[in-house]
Amino acid sequence: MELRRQITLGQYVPGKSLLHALDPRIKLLCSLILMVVVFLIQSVTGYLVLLGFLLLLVLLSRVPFRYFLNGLKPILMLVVLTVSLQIFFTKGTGQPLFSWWIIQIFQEGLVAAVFIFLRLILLVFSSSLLTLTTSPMRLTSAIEFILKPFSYIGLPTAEISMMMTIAMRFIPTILEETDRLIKAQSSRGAEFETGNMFKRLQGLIPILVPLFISSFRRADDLAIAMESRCFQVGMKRTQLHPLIFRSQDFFSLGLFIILLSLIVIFL
Amino acid sequence: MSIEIKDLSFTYDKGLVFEKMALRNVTFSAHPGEIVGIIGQTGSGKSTLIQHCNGLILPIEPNHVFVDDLDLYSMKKTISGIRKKVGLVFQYPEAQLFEETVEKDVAFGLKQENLSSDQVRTRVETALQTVGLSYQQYREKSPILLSGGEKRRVALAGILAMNPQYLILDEPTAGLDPFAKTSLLEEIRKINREQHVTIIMVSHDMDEIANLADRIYVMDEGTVVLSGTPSEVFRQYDTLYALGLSLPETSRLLHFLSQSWKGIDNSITDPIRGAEVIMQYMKEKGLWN
Repeated sequence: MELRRQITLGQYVPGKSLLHALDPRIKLLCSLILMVVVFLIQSVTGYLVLLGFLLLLVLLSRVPFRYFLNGLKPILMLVVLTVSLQIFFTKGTGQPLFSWWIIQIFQEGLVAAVFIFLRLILLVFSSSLLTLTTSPMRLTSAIEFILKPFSYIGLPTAEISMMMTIAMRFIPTILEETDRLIKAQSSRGAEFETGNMFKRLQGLIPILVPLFISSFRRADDLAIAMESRCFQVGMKRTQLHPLIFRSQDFFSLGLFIILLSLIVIFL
Repeated sequence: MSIEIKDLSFTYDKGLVFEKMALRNVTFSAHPGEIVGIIGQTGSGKSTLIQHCNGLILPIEPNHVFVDDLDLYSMKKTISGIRKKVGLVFQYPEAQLFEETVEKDVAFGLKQENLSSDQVRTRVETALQTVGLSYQQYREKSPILLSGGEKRRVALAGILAMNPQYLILDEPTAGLDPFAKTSLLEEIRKINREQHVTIIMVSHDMDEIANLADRIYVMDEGTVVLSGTPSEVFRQYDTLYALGLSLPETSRLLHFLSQSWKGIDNSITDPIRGAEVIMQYMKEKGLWN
């Protein structure tokens, strides 16, 4: 029942692999490219090669494979739904492969389902590769870098990235607090796992109210702490660990682009 | 009829990178009418241990955790009954208050029991009285607007309203001012004496635990290193210091004196009794006139 241990979205697994060491901006760019490529490929062989490539990267990251599978859990319903929609509702031109009552399954439907299935898995794997090997702080720095051009048209990029950093920083804290509250209220006889939908929703009140109260209090505390360290909106900010491109970063990016181009062109 | 924990081990995040062994072969018991103290540094496994006592963490193997001779391993479905019997008050319990009025908040745990509104009222009234708050004066107040000490009492009353036979308190006095601290401890003692509730209390305050507990368990890195009556445990100065734990002030004083005053009884933890021992020693040795 421990939430903190169930929610793996955006989780980071510390490590010393090549992928961990790579510049987060390069990793962010690579996963964006990867996501585009996922939709460019038109053949099953292409997908299998790409999947193989990703599995290679997973091995390279030295993050236990279980974490990647955990990342699939939240979208399991989505996968099941879209795959079955594709199978049952795609109308093909030839003879149906299978037909019973009003259900007709065509070859085109199966192919489309396999495509959608592979696409979703590849998308989750590529985003998991990014978040599992990049600490949230480095990831926000990377996003800040990428957003920088927009500051010239008046987008408060520094503030946006500050907000993201704070939000990321407090995700584990709030999950931990939620865990604690669930335990505390269970000790008072609250039940969260029984009853109908309405009862379960009602069961959330004893968790949500204290969570809101403490979050507001924490926000107040944080604001005071930031002000007492002379935080001011709109000032130019420097970083303790600035991101610096190294030659191996460009080398990896180049290699990555070449490999993916080959896959897109030939498969 | 007691809480019995036998040879219990527990690991968080088993098989993951963050794997952490929280308990190693812990044996622990709390018998009816006792006040049992648990001390140890942060991260020594105290919280994990007490969460096993009311089934918040269920044992993964049979024959390790028993409440009144029931093995909690076999009680996954009926664990809420155990939670009513074993009330657990978390650290800073005031953070769990959420209802609009004190009365409703204290009555929260009673919703699951089929009680009439009169019965609920009586339970809430008694519980608030036990923690030293007047029902008439507090029932309509918003718990959010109370002082820290009052909030904590209301949270404690919320557990007491369920009439638990065992009460587990995780650092009940942390962050309270000295006056609120003393009176809360007094109430805990009263709950134990008058309502015969068995109490398990985690604390970092050695004086408080020495004066309240009948028996003490000292934990370190997930194991029980010492256990016994306060005077037995606090006589082990060197072990306690090595574990980074302090001593009750009186024990420290007597320990210091015993290095030059050979033979002085240094197992006393109560300050008044300590003073008597010192006076008696001085009289015997002719140092007092």
